Amino acid sequence: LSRDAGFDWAGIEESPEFRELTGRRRRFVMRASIFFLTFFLTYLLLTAFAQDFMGTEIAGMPLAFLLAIAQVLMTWGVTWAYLRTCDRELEPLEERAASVATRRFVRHPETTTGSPR
Amino acid sequence: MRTVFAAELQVLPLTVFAVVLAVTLGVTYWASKRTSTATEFWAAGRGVTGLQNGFAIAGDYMSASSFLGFAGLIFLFGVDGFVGLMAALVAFLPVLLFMAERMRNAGKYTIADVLAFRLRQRPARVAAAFGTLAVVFVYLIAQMVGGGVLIQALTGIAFTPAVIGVGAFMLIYVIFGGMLATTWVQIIKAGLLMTCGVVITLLVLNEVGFSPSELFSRAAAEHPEGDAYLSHGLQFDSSVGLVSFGVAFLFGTAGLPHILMRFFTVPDAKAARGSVAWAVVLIGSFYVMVMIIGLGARALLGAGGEEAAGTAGNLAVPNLALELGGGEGSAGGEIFLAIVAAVALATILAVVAGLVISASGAMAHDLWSNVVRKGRESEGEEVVVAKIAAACIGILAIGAAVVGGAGFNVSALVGLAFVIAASANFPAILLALWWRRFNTAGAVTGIAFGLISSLFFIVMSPPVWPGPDSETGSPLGAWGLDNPAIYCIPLGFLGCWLGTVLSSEKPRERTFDELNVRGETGLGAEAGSDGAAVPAGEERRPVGATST
Repeated sequence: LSRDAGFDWAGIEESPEFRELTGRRRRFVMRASIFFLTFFLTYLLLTAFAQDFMGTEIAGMPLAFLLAIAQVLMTWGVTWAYLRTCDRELEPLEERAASVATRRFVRHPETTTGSPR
Repeated sequence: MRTVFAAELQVLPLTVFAVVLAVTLGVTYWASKRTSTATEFWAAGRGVTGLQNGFAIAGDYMSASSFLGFAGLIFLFGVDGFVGLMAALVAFLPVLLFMAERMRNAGKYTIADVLAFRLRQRPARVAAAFGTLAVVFVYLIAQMVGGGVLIQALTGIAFTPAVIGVGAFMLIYVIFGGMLATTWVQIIKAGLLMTCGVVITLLVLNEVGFSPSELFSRAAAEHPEGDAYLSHGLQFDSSVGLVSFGVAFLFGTAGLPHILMRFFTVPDAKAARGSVAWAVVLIGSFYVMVMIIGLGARALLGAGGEEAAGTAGNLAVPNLALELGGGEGSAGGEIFLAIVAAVALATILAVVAGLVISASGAMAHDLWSNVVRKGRESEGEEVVVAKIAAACIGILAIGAAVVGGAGFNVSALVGLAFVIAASANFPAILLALWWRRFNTAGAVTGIAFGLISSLFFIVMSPPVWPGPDSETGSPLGAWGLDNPAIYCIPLGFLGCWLGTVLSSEKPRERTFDELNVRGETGLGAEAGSDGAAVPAGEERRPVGATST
């Protein structure tokens, strides 16, 4: 496979289509990271420093258990949100950035545009 | 109640386990016919689907310590046991958001491939290989010792033959069946473990009339500390220690070579993120079941079950299975115990096989092919060296486990593996993938800082130095932590940053631009089994189009 040859990587990197893709992904990843870190570290700090509070019972279940279940639901929720963002938003941008790259930023067309394998 | 500690050979668990072993050997034979190239050996030909890889990640990740170990800790200490489980689950979010897709698109077989992508080959590979081997070796010894002790208790096979047996099967899977056999052993194990978890959970819930509050009140009533069992603070005497323990799991997972390596087995980035999604669904539901099982063991076995559960509580679940099946001497109880024992053994095998194949990648692909032979080797040679490397690592680990014996502090070893993964591997991989300025000196310094500080603080930690029963305590005094991740992770990042800003390294031939484009779009990435990745110049196929 021609894995290095052919592309003008810097050119693709600066193309507006690629910039939009990375910008959108970065925005999601940053927001999701701040959210999950805050959510989890709050739980972790409560387990370490608010132990009486974590023993509070709600409907017969200690808060320590309910907040642990909340971590599971949060993990599933963030994962689902990322996959949905990829399907709806990022994949079309990936397609577009890749097709622009293959049309405009191939440096050595003679070595890379062979007949389809 | 009978103490589940077999003094003589137990026929029933061995019979059930023989069936499991026969199936895995059949899978290995099938896989051996499909494993000849390096891509097939380390990456199962990149033909594993997202769903399959999700099961395999779950099988690779959930060791006997998360099934029997965490359930045992919950049995002994209540809700403190939840913290490690939750940290180990949330840990897949950094893997999903920062690692999985970029690793898939930038790498080939090992995490060193990702570091070497735009850094200087030899130093970057040597550093990353050391990080990988350190984590794998420590974790492997922990698994073998833990497995040996467990097998002895459950089946009556003595410790040394049990460790050698585990090592032999692990090597058979890896050497003959490569990643394809390892993957299917992990998938089968994940299926068995989930089924077993669902059955025990339903039986426990049935005992308490499917009422969570009944479960909690009965569990607390059976614990000497009463309601304190339902709040934190029984297991950890230091709050900072608990936070550090949680942080080690949170970031350690994103530096575990055997988990990250699984992303090279799928055809593209979409399958990589899909496999994380399946893995968190499986692992998350299993961890909820482990919480219920641990509490159920307390509610049903009571304080009287503590002696039977052993000092670390590892045998609480087997005892619970015996009780749920109808108690000692009943056919149901004995059969259920045998099934749980067989699942626990399958669990150990799947994890150690994953560890050995990742170590063989570091030894053969990174150190031998790219550093010693500088890429002149043939692919056939690489696979032969990989098998020799797997055999060497396996034999070394068996030797270390047998010599160290049951006296090795398993939880200190697991802690050390996660601390090294979190402080040596995680910062270097994360920055190599995302930080434009990052360079070779940064990677080498960061990995060195992470490795050395982990070893230093673990050796100085209260359970290791100067010995658990010593009066004088750790030389670090109150600063000594059982799990020092909270010191070591910042030191790892500091090393990466210092190395980077202090060196005047020239940019490499391959640039961050290439990594970034390749990571985001998959252009130029290693092809999947069906040639799904896009070579330069070829129009990218629309999503959903069939590939030929």
